[in-house]
Amino acid sequence: MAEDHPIRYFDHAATSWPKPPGVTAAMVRAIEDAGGNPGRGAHALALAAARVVASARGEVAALLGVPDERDLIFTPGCTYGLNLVLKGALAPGDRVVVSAVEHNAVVRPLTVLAAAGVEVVVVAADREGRIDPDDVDRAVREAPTRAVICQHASNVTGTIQPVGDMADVAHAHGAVLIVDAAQAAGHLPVDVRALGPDAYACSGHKGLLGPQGIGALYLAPGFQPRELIEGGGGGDSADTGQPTRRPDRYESGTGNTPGATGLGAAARYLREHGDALRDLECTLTRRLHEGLVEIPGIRVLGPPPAEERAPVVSVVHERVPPDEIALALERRAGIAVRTGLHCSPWAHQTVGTIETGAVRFGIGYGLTGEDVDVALEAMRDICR
Amino acid sequence: MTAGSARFAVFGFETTHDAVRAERVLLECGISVRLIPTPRALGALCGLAARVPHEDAARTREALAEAAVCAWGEIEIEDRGGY
Repeated sequence: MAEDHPIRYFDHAATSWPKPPGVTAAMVRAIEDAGGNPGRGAHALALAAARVVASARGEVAALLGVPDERDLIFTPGCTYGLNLVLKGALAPGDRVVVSAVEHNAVVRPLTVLAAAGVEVVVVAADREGRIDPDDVDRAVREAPTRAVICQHASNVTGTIQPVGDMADVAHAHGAVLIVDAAQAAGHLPVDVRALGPDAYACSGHKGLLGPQGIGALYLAPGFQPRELIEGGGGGDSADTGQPTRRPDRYESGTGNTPGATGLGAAARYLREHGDALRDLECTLTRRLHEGLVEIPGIRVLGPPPAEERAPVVSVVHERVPPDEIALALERRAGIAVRTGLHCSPWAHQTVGTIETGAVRFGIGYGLTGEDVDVALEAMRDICR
Repeated sequence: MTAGSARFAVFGFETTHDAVRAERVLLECGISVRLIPTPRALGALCGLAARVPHEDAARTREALAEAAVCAWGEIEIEDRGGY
């Protein structure tokens, strides 16, 4: 509660809250009834743990259209998945083409890799954050390129990138496509077979509605980045070499069994209710967007209301700074939003808000039309 | 076979995921399967193996192949109560 207001949670782009039915209960069951170490031993609790992790892997793989569950790797999060792929696939002398609106989960590892000798070529976006695949094509044609790196949807503008076209461009020139899907998975219908990425890194706790501390990484069968860490997996311990089979190659050490189980339950919920939830998110996003652009002095970042976007609406006001808006929203109406640069300085540079940051409304599970109307009324009042 | 013992086929797997998936596939086929610690005779000291009645060994091979579950080894064992 914020000053006696119920929480109206518009920070889904940071993390989802609340969780759908079954997620918390599944995690509790994992701890209480399946509390062994998966793959380490064949006693009842260890087997129960192995079964719940395998079941969760199957649920998430089915949700994302992954044909072989073994190509779906559990990670500690999207950032870890991206680090795994970038550092495991790129070496000094490689050239990569990356969009100018990437999150720091991509930008920071690339900065480290650039210092080590990876050539990083940045392709500009338009003011709404759109990347033109023709621009990527031109950049890739200039020199042999190992990878194209692109987000599926922006955490600042909600802009959806044409990932399928990017995959075609990359593959036409012998490059792989690495996708940051933190803001897309769960919010957009995803079928990795149709999209064609070589790596698709997801956060488990955002649109996928799972708990924090777990993520999912799809690796196409022919794409073999080096693992980020080596260690035990429960298999043949006499072999001191890292296993080559998936998922063990990329999941050394005891994993997050409760987290994976919660994510599996969330994926099961999304397989049953995801279409309806996505329809609701689109409706609420457009309603909020259309209401915000009517407020004098407000600029909504990203594409216009008629264009499809991820359920993210960020704004700046010509007079009231973002931090004041955020404080007033919570004080007046219990509305939770996020301000600042959202770990995405490149995106804010692109859309012209690097000096101010923005107020971000992230829409998702649990929000209603009434919440949007309350948010709009509060914004009209604050920005008067 | 001695009195009080039973013959089994045991299949080894490289990953826990493959072992659990094999268990699911075999149960769906009506094969009585039990996941056990990998016997030393299979060539490894860790990991999970699937134990099935000896007479179901052929059906198990077929079911695993159809489901694209890779078993990396197969042995016969005689269980005198230890398994």
